[in-house]
Amino acid sequence: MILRIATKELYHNITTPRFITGFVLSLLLIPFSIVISINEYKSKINVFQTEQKQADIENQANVYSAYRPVIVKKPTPLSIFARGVSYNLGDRVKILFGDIPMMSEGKAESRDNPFLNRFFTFDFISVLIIIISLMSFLFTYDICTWERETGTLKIMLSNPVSRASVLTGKMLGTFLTLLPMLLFSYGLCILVIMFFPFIHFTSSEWVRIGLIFLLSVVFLVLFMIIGLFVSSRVKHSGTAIVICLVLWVTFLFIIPNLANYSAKSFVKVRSVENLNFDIQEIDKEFYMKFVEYNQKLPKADWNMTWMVIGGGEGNRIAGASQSYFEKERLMNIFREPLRIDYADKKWSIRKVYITKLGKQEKTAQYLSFLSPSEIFKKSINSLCATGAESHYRFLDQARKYREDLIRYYKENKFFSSYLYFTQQDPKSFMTADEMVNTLTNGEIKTLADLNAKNDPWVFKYFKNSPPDWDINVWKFMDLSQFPQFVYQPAKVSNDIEDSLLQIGMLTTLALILFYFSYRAFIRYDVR
Amino acid sequence: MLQAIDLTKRYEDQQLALDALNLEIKEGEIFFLLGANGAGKTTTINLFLNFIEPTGGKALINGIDVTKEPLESKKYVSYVSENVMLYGNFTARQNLDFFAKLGGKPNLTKEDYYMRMREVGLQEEAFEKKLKTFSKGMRQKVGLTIAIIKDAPNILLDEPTAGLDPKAAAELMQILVNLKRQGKSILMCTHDIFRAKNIADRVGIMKEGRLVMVRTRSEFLEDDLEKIYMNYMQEMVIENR
Ligand SMILES: Nc1ncnc2c1ncn2[C@@H]1O[C@H](COP(=O)(O)OP(=O)(O)O)[C@@H](O)[C@H]1O
Ligand SMILES: [Mg+2]
Repeated sequence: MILRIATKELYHNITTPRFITGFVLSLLLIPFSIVISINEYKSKINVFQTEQKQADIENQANVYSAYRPVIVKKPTPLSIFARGVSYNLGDRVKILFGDIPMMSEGKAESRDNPFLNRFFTFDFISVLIIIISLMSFLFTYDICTWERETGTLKIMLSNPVSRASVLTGKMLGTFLTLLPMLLFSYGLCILVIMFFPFIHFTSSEWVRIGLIFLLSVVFLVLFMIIGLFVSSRVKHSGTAIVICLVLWVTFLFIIPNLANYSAKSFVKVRSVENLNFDIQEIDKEFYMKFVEYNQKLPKADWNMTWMVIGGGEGNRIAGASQSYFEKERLMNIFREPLRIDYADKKWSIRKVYITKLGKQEKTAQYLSFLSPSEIFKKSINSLCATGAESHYRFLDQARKYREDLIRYYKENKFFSSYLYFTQQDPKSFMTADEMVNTLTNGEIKTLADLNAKNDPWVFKYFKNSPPDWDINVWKFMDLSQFPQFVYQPAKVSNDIEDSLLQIGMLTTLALILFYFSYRAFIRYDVR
Repeated sequence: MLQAIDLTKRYEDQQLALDALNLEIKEGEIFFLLGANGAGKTTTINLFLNFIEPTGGKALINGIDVTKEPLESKKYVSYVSENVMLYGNFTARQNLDFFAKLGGKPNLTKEDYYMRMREVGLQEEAFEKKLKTFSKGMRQKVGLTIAIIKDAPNILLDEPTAGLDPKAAAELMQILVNLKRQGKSILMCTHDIFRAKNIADRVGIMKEGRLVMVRTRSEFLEDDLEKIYMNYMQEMVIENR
């Protein structure tokens, strides 16, 4: 009996113009959104490849202090389905000893043309949410009312069928009307993706896609039940469609925006400028401390350096005197642990800031959970690993990697080694006099003699320099023993656990609403 | 057989729509329930179909209490409602097919449907046409066919002649007479007193939820039914003033 009613409902539905409208809508919007998402992914991959190449060059080092690796997060092809926050956040982190990474660099947004107006995110899932919710409402807002209006509900119920069967049959029929639309959308999406050979899904990603589909089915059913709930509570279709449209706009547009806005006003976060000012103060303090220490150290016999490459965390030095090198080494023994301490100090401030941001995001998230479509979006983002969590995860791992690297440096006593800043063999270090002698090919014997010339332009006396005084010919070190960063994506099971809460929320909501709709339909005035 | 025993309905807004109705319609009997708008006729039918719960008394169909065993009781009753739209995107035959199967007649053929539609006087070319192209009278005929196909021993009709032209209404009456001959119990609610005079075995007049008068055929043929009815109606008009 239920099946008979379901078949009738299905037939009725597919002969209405809204069915065609729905199909045309998905036929237009779905490929459009996929092509946009694929292009976005493609450019993200391009950027990633360039950044990776750049990082590979940057990550070569000829002294220990020069090794401050850049790590780049590979974009996931699942971002085609749901872009999440991946577009707002960068995917590149430079591991420094003097700073604990707080945010990644290289926002995709900043690579875009800033003169173009940002439009509504057009990823697959956003479009699908619009289509599913709209279609579900369009087919269920009058699910109770239209048969009351045509009088067929009365005739149906004058037969030995229970209202429960009528309701179940009608819902099943409508579900069977909408399911092909969903299958069609996903089929189209997969088909389009197949056309692009550069997109590869691993088997775990296929599992995720399967889950995303299942979740979409749950979402479809939920919106159908919301429509049913409205329909079971009103007498006229006209009232129902108005309520449904209001709900639709509220769920899809008002709540997410309002949630962000209220989260911003509930959880106040200081400005980045303000934060950076404090950070600079701490940096200054660090600078003062090591300068002060530097002055306490015995002076080098000569301050001349043949070649220095500065920048980053520490200089690369070649062609200095033994005492200069030694002073630099002593400086490093003091400065580098201090640098790490100060990084911790800055982190304690940054952590407050980033925690606030996280809190703001969480608040916005929980507020937006008033809207079922946001709950759905959230769980899809976790499944696609494009949500904020996945980004936190990447940064957590980057921070952990930094610790590993520091530990490795400490264990191997790199800070106290000459190789931390020079590739010159310590055995070849010279006193100032030896250096002058070598540089002038023996023409000037001592530094005192050179100084005696009282010539500000001493370089004109230098005729010769040992080859390893040229930093540019230094070899790159073998870094294979160093800790390497390997990004560990969350296991599918973890992400399922993450989205379990949302799935639970959606299902509970669906069940509660269905129960109330059922009760309302049992008492539904058939006239 | 249709029975109402002290059947009472008071709506949530305290409106007493039906006040202790006692009524019994035997096999092969046509009972016309007359009354002005709001008299409680539809309420009576809705109670028989368990569309609404009685606040007192009970309704029985073939001896089955409709509130206790609603599904069982509905096997024995067909229903023609006023102004049925039916499924506009389905053809006449598809409409019949769906409701026949719901009514427990799964094995009917196309020919069976055609035969019934011919019986009620539907044009042959309409059988496979979508119902949204039908006139009101044609739809009413399909609605009637649905009731006939179910072949239940009791038939409830709620103002089936509303909006029908005189010819169509006369045809409907003829069909009811045929059904009565097959031994069906027929309850027809209407304010169409002329038809009542033609074919009713008994007539009841309802006013403000009370069955104020019942006359058998021989009684009302002697009295002037129209006059009695008009008197009741007038009283109401005076009261309402
Ligand atoms: N759902 C309802 N709620 C409250 N009152 C109702 C409802 N349906 C009908 N009534 C009232 O009950 C009375 C009888 O109505 P009804 O049985 O439809 O009359 P009839 O069919 O004879 O015109 C009317 O006064 C009507 O206003
Ligand atoms: Mg009525």
